[in-house]
Amino acid sequence: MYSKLSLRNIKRSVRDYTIYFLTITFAVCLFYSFNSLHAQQAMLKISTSQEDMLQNLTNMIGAISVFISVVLAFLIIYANGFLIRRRKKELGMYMTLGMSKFHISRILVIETLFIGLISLVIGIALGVLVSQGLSILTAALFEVDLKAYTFVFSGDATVKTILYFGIIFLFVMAFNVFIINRYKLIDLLTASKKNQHVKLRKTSTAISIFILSIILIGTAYSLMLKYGLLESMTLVWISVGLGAIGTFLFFFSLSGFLLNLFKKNEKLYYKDINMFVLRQINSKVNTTFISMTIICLMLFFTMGVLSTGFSLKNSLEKDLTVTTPYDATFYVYHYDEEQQEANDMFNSLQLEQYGDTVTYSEYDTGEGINSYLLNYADSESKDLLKGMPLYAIKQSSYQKLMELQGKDPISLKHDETLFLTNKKEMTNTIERFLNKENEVEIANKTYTIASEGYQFTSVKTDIMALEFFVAVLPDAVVKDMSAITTVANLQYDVEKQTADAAIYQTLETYNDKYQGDLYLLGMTKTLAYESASGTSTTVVYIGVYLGIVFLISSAAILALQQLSEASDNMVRYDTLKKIGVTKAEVNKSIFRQIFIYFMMPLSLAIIHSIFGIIVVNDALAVAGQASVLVPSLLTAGVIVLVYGGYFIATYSGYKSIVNNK
Amino acid sequence: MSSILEVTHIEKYFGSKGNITKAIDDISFEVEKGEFVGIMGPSGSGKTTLLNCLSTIDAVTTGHITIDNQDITTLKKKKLETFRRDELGFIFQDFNLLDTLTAYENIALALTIKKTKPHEIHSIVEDIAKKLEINEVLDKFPYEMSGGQQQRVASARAIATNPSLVLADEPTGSLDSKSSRLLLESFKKLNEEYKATILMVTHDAFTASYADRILFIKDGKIFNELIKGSDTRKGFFNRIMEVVTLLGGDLDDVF
Repeated sequence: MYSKLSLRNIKRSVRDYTIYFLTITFAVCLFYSFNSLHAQQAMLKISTSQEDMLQNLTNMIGAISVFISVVLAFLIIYANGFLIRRRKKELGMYMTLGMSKFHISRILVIETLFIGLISLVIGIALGVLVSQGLSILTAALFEVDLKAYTFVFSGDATVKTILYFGIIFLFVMAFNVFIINRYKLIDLLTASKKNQHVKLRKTSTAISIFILSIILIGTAYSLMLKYGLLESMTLVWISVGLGAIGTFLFFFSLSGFLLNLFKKNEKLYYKDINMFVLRQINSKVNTTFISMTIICLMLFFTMGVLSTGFSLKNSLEKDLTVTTPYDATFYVYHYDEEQQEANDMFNSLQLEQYGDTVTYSEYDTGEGINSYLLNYADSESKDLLKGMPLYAIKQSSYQKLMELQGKDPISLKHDETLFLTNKKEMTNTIERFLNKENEVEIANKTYTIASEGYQFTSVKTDIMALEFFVAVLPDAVVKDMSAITTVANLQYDVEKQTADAAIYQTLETYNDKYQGDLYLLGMTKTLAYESASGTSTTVVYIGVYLGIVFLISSAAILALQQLSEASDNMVRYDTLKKIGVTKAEVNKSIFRQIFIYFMMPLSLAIIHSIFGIIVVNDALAVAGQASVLVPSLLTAGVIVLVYGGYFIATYSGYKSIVNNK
Repeated sequence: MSSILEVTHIEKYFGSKGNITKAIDDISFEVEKGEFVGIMGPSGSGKTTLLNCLSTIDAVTTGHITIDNQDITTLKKKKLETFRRDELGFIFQDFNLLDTLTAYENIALALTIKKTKPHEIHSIVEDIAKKLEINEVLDKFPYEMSGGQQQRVASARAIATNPSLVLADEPTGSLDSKSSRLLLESFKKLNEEYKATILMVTHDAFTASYADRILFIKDGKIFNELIKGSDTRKGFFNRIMEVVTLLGGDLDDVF
């Protein structure tokens, strides 16, 4: 009997439940898809090193899922609370009919169970579909090929999803019972009347608070723009704090401020039903500024992470074409007197078995890069130069290194010098320097600069471009400087995969067996690419996971707030219709009201994100110039899709509530 | 005198075949410009249905209603909306003020809907507020006002657009006797000074006694008609009471 009643209730209030149901289904789908990542291995052709990375990623997502489930729990309880409030009168009716609170709780528990079960089943089914697609994304991000298609189904992820959401639903049920027990019958029956008491705050103070909020947000922006992300962590937190408080005050005062502003402009205020729409928004935002703030910050996070996450991948990989000229590079840092030990070490590795090798050393000139380039530096290179020493390599090493790369070395006379860089951001600065200078003094000796001036190239394989400015000097001079790094570069002539695997093995185990003071480091071209894609995949996955959950939460909260209002507003719109506002105008005003309401947190979040992306980009510039355009467009697409979808669902739901009574 | 409202042989049925209720059963009457007409009748007599038909919220089954020389029974739905906006003013039992707007804005809204120029709005609102003695509460929100004040604001809103016909549905239904008296005095004033044509539905004899003419409805038909003529309000009230008694009206309904 009770389950029949519950089922009928759900059927009847499908309109109210749509958003609730959709949100849970989405959440389940996301939760399953991301937690099934491990099972996707079945479809990917990955190496041992990538397997390790995927395992790390899986662990990380597992940890984040706990956090996500807390967020979702709050969202679902919040949504559920809205639905109950909307049904106060119905519940009151049950009570007057003699149903006990226990029975009413039971109805609600069964309802939650129904919805939970249905959305779990549909959500997991959708999740299984989505995770097939996710495998393709994983393959693309890891830059590996897909094996023959296999249907991926993760039992672990399914059990985990059911477990986590089961717990969430238990919380929801407990919450419902708690709420019902607190209600008094009189409150339930007069609920609809009570709601009409609108809190309206005086608008005069709004202006000053609004200005304060703008100042706070502006300060946060300028702090970040001036000092960047890497200067000090305290500063970053201060900016974040200022920004958050500013955002809060912004929404606290926004509607009052706007109302004042519009009131001054009589032409706008007294046009059609503008003043009604404005007052409508004002009364709503006045009571929801806290959730507005949270939503705005969540959207900011989503946009920031999605657009910079993808650009991290771009920026990490962009340099690799330049920074990986050799199949493999080994190197050790050492003191001058350890040169022999380093040479012995490389000999013991017997690198010749893999192909051609060139071993060379880098020497410290005792000079800093700043003393040459600072006067020519631009904003891009200025930060890079700070405190960087000038290293030198021998002319003979340079020749061999270029030959190993298959390039023709620039021929250098005995007293000539040539500069090398593999950092794109440095080239303009270096060109300005070379335009002015024909000669250069290094370690008390003067050299003519070769007519070519500098060469854009790397002399070892690395993940990042760190050879900002290296001098090629005559062998005789360099010999007297102190060697600090010895490097062995390797170009395979055996099969790549076997060599890569053997070298990965060597790098993992060599130092454990080695008895001396030196520490062998190394990188293969393959590892460099794998690590770049691994890092960016991790960031992208976590960003997408958190970002979409935040996006859905934001949109769902906004939608529910609007819809829960709709029945209260029905009276107002009815009045409007009675005094002669046409249905088309009523619909227009509903559209505007919801649109403005949805756009408010989004607009501020977009502005926040623009500044955030600029700052993050500056920080990433050390690793290589990143393009945010494509990721930003992608992010915008996702937001338009999800946010827009919720907006349309809200608008049509709202309209049907108001128009059909 | 030209007639602003002409109702000719209207009928309104509810229900489907086999089970038809005639809510209005052949009613015809006219209202002259500047008249203050009351419609009385016990519960279920069809007076609310009649008002709904006059206010274009509901459509008649047969017959014609002409307001200001326009036959509203033949108007299209879209046209009806604009007609309602331009030609009719409404006063409701429960005021129906927008709780998010101040009194001033509530009145102004009726004007902005009609696309009155912003600079004209101010003088119109001030003027009518003075007449109805609500200029003190113009900046207040509905919940800060008494019921009587709210209803006078609602009346101001109904009359501000200068409609051909003001329809009042139990305007004193939610008011105490003192507020009722004040409101009805205002109606009288609006009727006399603005030459507003008012059609008021009520079941309260005291309220009705402020009208110039009263139509009594019972079981969907016009049962009687009273004209105040040169009678005093008190005398008119007594005559109304006689008809109410005749109607079999229970006295509970009267006071």
